[in-house]
Amino acid sequence: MADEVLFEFLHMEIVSHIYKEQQSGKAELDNKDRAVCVSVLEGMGFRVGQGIIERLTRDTPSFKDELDIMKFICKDFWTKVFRRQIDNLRTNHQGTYVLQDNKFTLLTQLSNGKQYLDQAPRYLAFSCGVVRGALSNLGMESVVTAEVSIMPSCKYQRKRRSTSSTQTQSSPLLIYVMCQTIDVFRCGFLFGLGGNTVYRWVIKIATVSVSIPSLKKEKCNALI
Amino acid sequence: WRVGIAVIAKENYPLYIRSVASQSELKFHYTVHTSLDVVEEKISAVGKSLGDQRELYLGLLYPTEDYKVYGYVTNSKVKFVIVVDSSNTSLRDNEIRSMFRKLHNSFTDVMCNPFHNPGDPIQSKAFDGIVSGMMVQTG
Repeated sequence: MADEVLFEFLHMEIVSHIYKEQQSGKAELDNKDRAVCVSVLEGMGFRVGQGIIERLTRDTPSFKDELDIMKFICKDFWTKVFRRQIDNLRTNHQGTYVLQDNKFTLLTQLSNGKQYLDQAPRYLAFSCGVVRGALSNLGMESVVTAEVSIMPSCKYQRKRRSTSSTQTQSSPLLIYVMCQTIDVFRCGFLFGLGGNTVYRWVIKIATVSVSIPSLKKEKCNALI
Repeated sequence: WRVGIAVIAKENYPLYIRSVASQSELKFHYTVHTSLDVVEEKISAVGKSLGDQRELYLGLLYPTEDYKVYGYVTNSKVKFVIVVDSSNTSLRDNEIRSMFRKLHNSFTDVMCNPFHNPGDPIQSKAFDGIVSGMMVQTG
């Protein structure tokens, strides 16, 4: 019984440690520091994902296609790693997949609604890396992002990594979080990280009623 | 009498090659290299055949005069190749399969070793030990 919680505690400490290290000596963390922390966590997750998938697929038959791989991730992989299955998988059949987990294990202890929503990205970075590492070893190079609107439910999105990107190491990680109440779209943070640490950030503060699906990427790109 | 064992990364470069010392190493490397074509062919054929059990063990890749070459591919597209002497007829399919399983288990342990970077040549002593054990066996 106790072993479930061991990893959760370890994960919390890892996140806390990374942020403390980055902050040492400075009064306040600016966006660049936050981006570095997220990148470090995601990188750790990536290596873990590579190792985990090697162990988990040792006895499974080979996968037919991408969809087969994603179904494996949603069922067996998610069960072994996060102790539940993905609740909803959607795809556009062109390489983009959205995985929805309504009760993500690493978020359940934080809150049950909107409290601490702005802190959620820290606790998702590692998992994004794990998924990306697992997919990478199965032959699907990806960009994995996570989105939270109400705790503890979160959506992971996997996109095909464009072959035109020039990095050799880690893929760009976008963590896109929206803090949103029913009436007010408070703020959106967009972190973009490239392999040679080129990054940009955007803060948009608006009082507009929008819902997550209707916020188009194009609007955000226009602000950068 | 095993002639050699090789582990090839998914980008088709060797992660680990070991052959019995007295044999001509170059010829062994060449045999492994040519067997990669056959492996690729089998992997792509798996995708097209419906209803076939999609196994990791690829079986006898091709026999030459002197050697028999067996292949195995993991889900992470890492290939194992075992080359045995043709004259050794006592080796059964089951034994080869169990050798591949041992290799796969050992390889998984290597991947989970935090000091190993995926994509680097395998330097684990434990892995060396398993391979040596397999090579020394006289069947």
